[in-house]
Amino acid sequence: MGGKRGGIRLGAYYPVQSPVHGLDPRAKLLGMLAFLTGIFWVDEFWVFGLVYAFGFGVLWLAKIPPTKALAAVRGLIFLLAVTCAINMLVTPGEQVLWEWEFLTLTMEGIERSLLMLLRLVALISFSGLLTFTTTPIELADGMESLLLPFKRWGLPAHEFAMMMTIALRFVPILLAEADKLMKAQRSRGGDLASGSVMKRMKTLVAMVVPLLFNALKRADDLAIAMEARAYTGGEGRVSLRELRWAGRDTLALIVVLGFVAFMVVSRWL
Amino acid sequence: MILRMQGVGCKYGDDLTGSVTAVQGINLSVEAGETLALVGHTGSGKSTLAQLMAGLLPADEGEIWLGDLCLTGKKLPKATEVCRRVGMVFQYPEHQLFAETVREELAYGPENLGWPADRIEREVAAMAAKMGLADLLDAGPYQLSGGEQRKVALASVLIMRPPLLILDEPFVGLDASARQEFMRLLLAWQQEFSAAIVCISHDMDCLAEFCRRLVVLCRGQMLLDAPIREGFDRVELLQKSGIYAPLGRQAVRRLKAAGWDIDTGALTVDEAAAAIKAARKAGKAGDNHGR
Repeated sequence: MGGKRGGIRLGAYYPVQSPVHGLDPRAKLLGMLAFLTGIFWVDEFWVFGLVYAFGFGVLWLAKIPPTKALAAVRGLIFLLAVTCAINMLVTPGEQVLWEWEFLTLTMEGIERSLLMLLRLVALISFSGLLTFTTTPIELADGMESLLLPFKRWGLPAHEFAMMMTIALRFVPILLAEADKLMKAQRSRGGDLASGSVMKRMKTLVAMVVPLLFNALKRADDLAIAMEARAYTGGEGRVSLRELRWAGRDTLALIVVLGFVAFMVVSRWL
Repeated sequence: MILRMQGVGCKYGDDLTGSVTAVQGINLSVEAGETLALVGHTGSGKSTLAQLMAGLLPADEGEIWLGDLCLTGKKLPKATEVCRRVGMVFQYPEHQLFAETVREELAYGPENLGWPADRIEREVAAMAAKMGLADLLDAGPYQLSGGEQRKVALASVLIMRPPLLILDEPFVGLDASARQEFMRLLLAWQQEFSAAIVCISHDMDCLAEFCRRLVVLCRGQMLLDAPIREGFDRVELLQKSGIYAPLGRQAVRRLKAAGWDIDTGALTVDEAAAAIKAARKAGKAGDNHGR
């Protein structure tokens, strides 16, 4: 049976009202960039305790269930386990617990791999904070605004953001289109879920060819329709959604940067 | 019985973004040879209902039977099993064309059904001849005109001879003569195989010409299921769902309201013209009726 439409949500955005959702996307982008960089500096278990407390605190503020943030970890559990095991078994050290051929299990190895595990889990689960609380369009706006200063060195900030916005807009359209094509070919007996490999390949072709054809045609129509409404690029164009930096954005950014400073300094504590 | 739906309901969405009930409590059966018009305002659940009938959407409640095949059981039927019983032509079906030639496009469905090669060849040639596509068999579908593409897409479903054919807005974007041609081809095919047709459309004039039964949906619920001539008499009910009678019916009804002694059973423009003629004749023969 084909999937249902209507339930398609873009990215990971979690639609609730919260103080974090209401922040300026630029504050969130900068804060997240700093926080994620900071995580790489942390090298102590107790600091990780504080990082997790801080991260879950922000999740709580944003009204996002922690399970939602940890769901991303679930998908990568195999990768994490393998990385962790390799780290554990090949790190040399003085307190050797077990040894076989070239594999050694040392206290240092266990400590190293646990720290790495904590770091990866923190990166994966807290990087969602940005996409959970910011719509893709806000993100694109924020990015455009942050990249604007680089324009004088030839970086097409507006075009970059517009491309991102349009690409994001096309995702649900293409999903709906793919769903429709899947159903159309299914009603002619082409089913991706059953049949021989050859038959499935043919069904895939029957989906991808018209999907690409329609997407290109749609993109062409969109370009013409945009030009017909006087779009000529970023020059002289203003925006309905003006980003407004408020006091709370400064405050939030100061709090995050302060915490990140502590994360970095903790290396020498 | 070709199709039987009992208490069928379907929802979209999830708990977070809020779910929307698309259709609810639908009881409907379709017999062989029937032509059914499925109408309703936009968002009334017509397309959802059509996809439920075609086994392309899972129902959340109720039972759907295509002949002896249950679509709502625990074990879902295979696509090919469903396709032997129902064919669906989507809105703008030419958007689903993919093959290099019209011949391959027409053969795609029969290949999926596992017909022998010589039979496929025979049926493709016969279908192309019927649809007036015989000269285009080796052309690429993307090179054809819009009307021809639509015909290819329709033929690619008809060739599988589904006992039930579902058409979702088949006339959209066709010019008047292509529309007539399209309807003529559909009717000829339907009579040849005594198939049942369910047709979704906003074009009441087209529906009046080839459907005999009218089903009206309003906000996901069935508002009316009646023979088409009687169905279009329920003016107030139809207006609730944003539906107007075919032009022929509107014309005779307005003349009646203006004092004419006229039969208001007409649906098509031709029938209305005949009714007006008859009323005038009777008016001249009698006293001053029908002006």
